[in-house]
Amino acid sequence: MTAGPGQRSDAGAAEPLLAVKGLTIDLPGGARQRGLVEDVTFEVRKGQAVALIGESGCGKSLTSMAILGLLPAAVRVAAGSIHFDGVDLLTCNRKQLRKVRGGPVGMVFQEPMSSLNPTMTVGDQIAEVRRLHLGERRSVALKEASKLLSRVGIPNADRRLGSYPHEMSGGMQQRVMIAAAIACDPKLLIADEPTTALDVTIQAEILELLRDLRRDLDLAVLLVTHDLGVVADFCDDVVVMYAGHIAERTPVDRLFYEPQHPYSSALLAAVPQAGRARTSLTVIPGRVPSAGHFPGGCRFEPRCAHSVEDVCRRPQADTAIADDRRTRCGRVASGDLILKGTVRG
Amino acid sequence: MVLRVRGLTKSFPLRRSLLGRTLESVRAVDGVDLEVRAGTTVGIVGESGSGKTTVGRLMARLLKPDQGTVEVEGKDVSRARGSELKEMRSRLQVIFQDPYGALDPTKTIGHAIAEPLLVHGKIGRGEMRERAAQLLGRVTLDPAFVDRYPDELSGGQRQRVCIARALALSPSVLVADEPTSALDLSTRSEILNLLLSIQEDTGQAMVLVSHDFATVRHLSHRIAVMYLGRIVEEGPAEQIATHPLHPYTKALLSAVPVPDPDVQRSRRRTVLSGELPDPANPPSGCRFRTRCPVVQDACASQDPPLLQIGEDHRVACILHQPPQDDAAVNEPQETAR
Ligand SMILES: Nc1ncnc2c1ncn2[C@@H]1O[C@H](COP(=O)(O)OP(=O)(O)O)[C@@H](O)[C@H]1O
Ligand SMILES: Nc1ncnc2c1ncn2[C@@H]1O[C@H](COP(=O)(O)OP(=O)(O)O)[C@@H](O)[C@H]1O
Ligand code: SF4
Ligand code: SF4
Ligand SMILES: [Mg+2]
Ligand SMILES: [Mg+2]
Repeated sequence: MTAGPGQRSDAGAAEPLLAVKGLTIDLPGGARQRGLVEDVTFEVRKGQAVALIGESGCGKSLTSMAILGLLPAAVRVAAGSIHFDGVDLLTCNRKQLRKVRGGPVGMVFQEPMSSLNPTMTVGDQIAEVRRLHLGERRSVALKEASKLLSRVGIPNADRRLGSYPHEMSGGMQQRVMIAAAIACDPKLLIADEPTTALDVTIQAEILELLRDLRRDLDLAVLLVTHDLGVVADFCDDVVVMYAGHIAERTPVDRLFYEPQHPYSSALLAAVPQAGRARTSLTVIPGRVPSAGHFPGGCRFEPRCAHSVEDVCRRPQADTAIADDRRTRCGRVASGDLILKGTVRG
Repeated sequence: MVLRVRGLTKSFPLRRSLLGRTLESVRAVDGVDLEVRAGTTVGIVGESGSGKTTVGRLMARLLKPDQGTVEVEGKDVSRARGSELKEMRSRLQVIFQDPYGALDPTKTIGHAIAEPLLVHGKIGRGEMRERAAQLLGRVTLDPAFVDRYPDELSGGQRQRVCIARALALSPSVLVADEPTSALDLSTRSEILNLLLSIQEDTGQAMVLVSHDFATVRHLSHRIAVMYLGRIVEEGPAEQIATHPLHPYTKALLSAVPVPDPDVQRSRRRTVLSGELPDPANPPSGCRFRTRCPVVQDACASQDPPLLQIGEDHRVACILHQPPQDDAAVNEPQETAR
């Protein structure tokens, strides 16, 4: 996965499809809390699959919502930029953002039923995306919707156009969501826990479908997940978030074999491994602090097994440790701390 | 054998006529035989809707079986009622998936934990706090939690409270239905460690019901795989995990992604065709045949029973008959899988 010198200049030359820089999200007003998400920087290149992982409450959904311009009304972007295809989405108005969502950026969420309209046929819901973005007539858009349903592996697509979401299984609903998300040839798909509510057998099919779409459409995917198996299976790069910060950002193999942040290595060790049945798993004591209760120094310090005086009591900077890797642990960045992966590497 | 179920069957009505007669029903559990030895864990896995929860509820006699028997410590409790059922509950306790729904928000943690002891007349009201504090210690929670209320606790802490309550009567069997499915990654490992150490300390038998194969593999001595109300394969955990025989078990395992990129990239995937059939109308013959990658002509007419093959392993598939029946079917090519 480490790029050779030749490859690197290539990648360096091409502008990333998505570049999030210094993204900071606050909760203003009476309940004022700073840094729900703070100084988040990462990139997604064309066709690349990037995982966003971390325990719940670490800021994964806020980060992906910010990209889509769908942040809850209560919170506000306080700093940073989100460049997509060269345009800073944070400077776009609502109308422009509506053009982006469902157009060049598709989205899929965990609960398909919360995004699908229960009173509208799936055909019309998919067609609507094309009518809105491409100005197609209903009859034309419905023909396209049928093709899209076939594309995402729904049999008898023409007949299925007239079905309502509740007449379908959870797996089929998620396929419909994906069909709507890719209706206008997006370059980026943001998928927040798209398979969490599904059985593994259906999850495997959905991941297979997303893999095909990546290959055929050169689609990049930002995948929010808590399943390290899914990360290993599907993703090229990983962004590990902890308490609103990026703890580590790395190519996927290196995360598993040479993690560069104590939070990453603890997450890996918390997962059952083949061949170690009925042995004690690593526990990360305590829990993710909520905004307003972040420690002053390293945000992971109270739970970190490698914390030392002084260094860890100071705020940590997001530091590059290789061309394609960053960590927010000062001890790792300085070479003072060397972590082991839990799986052989 | 601490727990033994035989021929368990349970149907639920789906539709009733105006007069209340059942017009259509789903056979959630259809002839399940399973045994649990003292001090061991039996894991039950399968897709959602396969009947895992119903088996757990039948074992705990939260449901009454239509047919079949449930024996706890050698005593048939299938039709137990009243005091007999109450006595049985003290021997077998249940932990549910949702630690939020399982605790009464108006009662203190101490009350929740010690209530079973009070109900069974083992202690008086005056002893509740002290016993609850002891039990909190066993699940490594601060004994000071006795006076707190459920909404002051995190999901993981609540699940510990539920475990403490389940342990209160020192049952010989714990049935845990998806005990970690609602929890975050890091909290899940705490609960798994706790369940392991409880078993090591007290030798309690456990039935672990979960859709998550990694969790089941981590805790179980034996694994039973369910499909549409039936056990299709059952045997020692490592054997099931590394050398599964039933085509469904193989497919299920191949769908579980391994958290190791090199290994995951080199794995072969068996993609199942289609989704779980309607449990109210299971296919004729072998129930798995509509999705089976190695289906044979005979599978439409033969309903393969769960048969012992090898010493310690049961499989329900016409391709895996005990040796004497071998000649009847052709073993498929290994490459067909
Ligand atoms: N609408 C909101 N108002 C206030 N706080 C919020 C809101 N949405 C999320 N948060 C807080 O922001 C933090 C990050 O949340 P989220 O991005 O949803 O985390 P994740 O997706 O990683 O579980 C959490 O502490 C959460 O409580
Ligand atoms: N109380 C009930 N009423 C009607 N149908 C039920 C009831 N409980 C379970 N079922 C049905 O029985 C089958 C098995 O369900 P369940 O035991 O919950 O499976 P699992 O735990 O494996 O997901 C499913 O088809 C489910 O819809
Ligand atoms: S800076 Fe210190 S406390 Fe923070 S992750 Fe690194 S070692 Fe742990
Ligand atoms: S009996 Fe036939 S359909 Fe059923 S699992 Fe075996 S080969 Fe497949
Ligand atoms: Mg989220
Ligand atoms: Mg269940």
